[in-house]
Amino acid sequence: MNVLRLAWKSLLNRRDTASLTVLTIAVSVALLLGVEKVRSHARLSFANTVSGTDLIVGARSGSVQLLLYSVFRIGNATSNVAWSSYTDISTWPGVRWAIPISLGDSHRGYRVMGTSPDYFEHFRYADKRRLGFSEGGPFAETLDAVLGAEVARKLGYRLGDELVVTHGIGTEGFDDHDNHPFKVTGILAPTGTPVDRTVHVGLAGIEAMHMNWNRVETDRRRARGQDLTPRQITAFLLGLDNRLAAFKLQRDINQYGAEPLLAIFPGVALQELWDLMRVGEQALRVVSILVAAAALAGLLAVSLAGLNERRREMAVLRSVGAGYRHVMELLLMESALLTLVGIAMGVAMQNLALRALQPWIVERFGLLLPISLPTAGEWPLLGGLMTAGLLVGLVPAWRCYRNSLADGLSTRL
Amino acid sequence: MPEVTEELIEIEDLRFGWPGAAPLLSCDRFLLRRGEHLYIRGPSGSGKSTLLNLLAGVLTPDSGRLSLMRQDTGSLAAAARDRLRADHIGFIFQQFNLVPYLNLAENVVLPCHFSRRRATRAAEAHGGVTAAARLLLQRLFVEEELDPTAPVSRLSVGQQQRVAAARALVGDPEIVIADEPTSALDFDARARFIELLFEQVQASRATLVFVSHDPTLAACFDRTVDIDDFRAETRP
Repeated sequence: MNVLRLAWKSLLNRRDTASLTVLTIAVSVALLLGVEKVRSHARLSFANTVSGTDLIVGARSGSVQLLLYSVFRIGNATSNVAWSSYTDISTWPGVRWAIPISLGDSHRGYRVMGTSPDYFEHFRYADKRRLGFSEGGPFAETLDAVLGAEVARKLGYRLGDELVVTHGIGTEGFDDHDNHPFKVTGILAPTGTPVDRTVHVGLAGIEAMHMNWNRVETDRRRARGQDLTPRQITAFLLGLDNRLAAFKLQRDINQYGAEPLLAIFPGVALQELWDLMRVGEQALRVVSILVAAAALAGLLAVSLAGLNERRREMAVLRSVGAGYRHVMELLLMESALLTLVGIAMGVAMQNLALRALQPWIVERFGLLLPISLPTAGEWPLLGGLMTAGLLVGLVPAWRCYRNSLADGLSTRL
Repeated sequence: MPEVTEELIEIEDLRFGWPGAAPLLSCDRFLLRRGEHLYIRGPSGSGKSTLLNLLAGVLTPDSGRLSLMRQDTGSLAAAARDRLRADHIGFIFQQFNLVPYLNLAENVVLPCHFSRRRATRAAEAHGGVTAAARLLLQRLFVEEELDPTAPVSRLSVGQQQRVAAARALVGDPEIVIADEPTSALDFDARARFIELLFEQVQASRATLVFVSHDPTLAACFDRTVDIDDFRAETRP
């Protein structure tokens, strides 16, 4: 029987206090891991919202604001971009593709985005992933709509269903149409990005809707060759042949003569936006680290409180030949065991909690937190906690060493 | 027999006092030879546990020399003294000898975890430390059926002392130091314990140092000293 087994048996003998200590450590580990997981995945899903787009162009405002409304569909553009600017810039050398975006309408709380079919071709999210269709395909007719995964799921739409788009943003618009102009022709696969919460229609569809045409009317007018080209759009996304040209292109767009425009790098703007939220992120982390510190303080208190009762046990061990080293090892080993079991339980608790809450978290926040063993990013946290547990164990070990020096082999305590 | 004259503990001009207090122990010459059964008479509070801590190498003399197994404890590091104690001395205390969270056999084999020498000896003599422990327990509990894997918490004080004796003897250490091992026992248990202890000490040819304030036991020993002989203030 080595010192480890001795420590284990000694802990089993004091299993009531030991298990409480383990429990507090486990709770703090679960919290620490949970916060870390939410933090890293919030950040990841944030960074995943757009990729493969080299520049986002909108009317001159702030880069974060432009990012918020063009990518996250949050807030509104203060002014628009002329269609002519879009067509002009999209023909500039070095521009591989340009996708117009027209926002400002909604359907039962979900934003409606007018765009071109190219959107489904060129838009990328996460790790350069294309948008996939779970049903149907891109819009073809003027009044066709493609729904994001969440829109279809939450509102229960299927292919061929008709839906009303309200002008302005809100659950109920003020000029609801009696006729249901848009028809669902495609439903996108889930992406975990704002795309899931978007109703996509053609730019011409937006125009037609604003003129209050129904399907029949639209077909009739189009047949007569009526132009449904918009005069303004909200923003547009640019893909370039050569990413190195992006800086020059950005400068050229920012100095565009016809109207004041702003071009931003999505990655840079995402980083700026994330930095804005960093305070909250840090606060979360600090709180969970404080909880871990409290758990370790509990471990220390329990170990120190136990020492006095165990002076006799230590004297007996000394009398059968244990050196100071063994006695200190025993105490250190106990702290290590309590911390280790606490960490293991914490990982299990966090996994179980996530298993139970995962559907709700996806539903509520659109965050898919994977259930997994601790990831590479989490091991250092656990390692740090383990080290802290060992360091905490040094205190009773040292105290016990002092006691042993004073007590010698006396067992009459 | 040459080994009978072998000196296990040798004291020369030893002086010891706790810091800030008057010198407590003083001894010019003392020898403990192999096979001796020494009785040290002394009431508690007479510096007895200090003397035992010195003999065990837990404390070292302020001046003079105390050799344990021909090694000067004062010149050894604490860890080396711990090893010396683990290898050569078995202890029995007045009470509370046992580790509460280990069972009988585990308590008995405990010294073998800290002393390779005793573990080897137990294994050579009995085929294993646990076998050695069981055998000792059998000998010390001749009249009783005893489960070696039972917890120690249900034992009577007399039974606990016998388990402690088995532990002190396991792996055949040269010296067994018993510090008032019978003072918590009633008369019958005391007689039985002394009888069994002597049997086993003789069987393992160990040297016994028995400290007690009960003068009736002195007759069983071949040598008696008084704790006062070691005390600085009372020494003649």
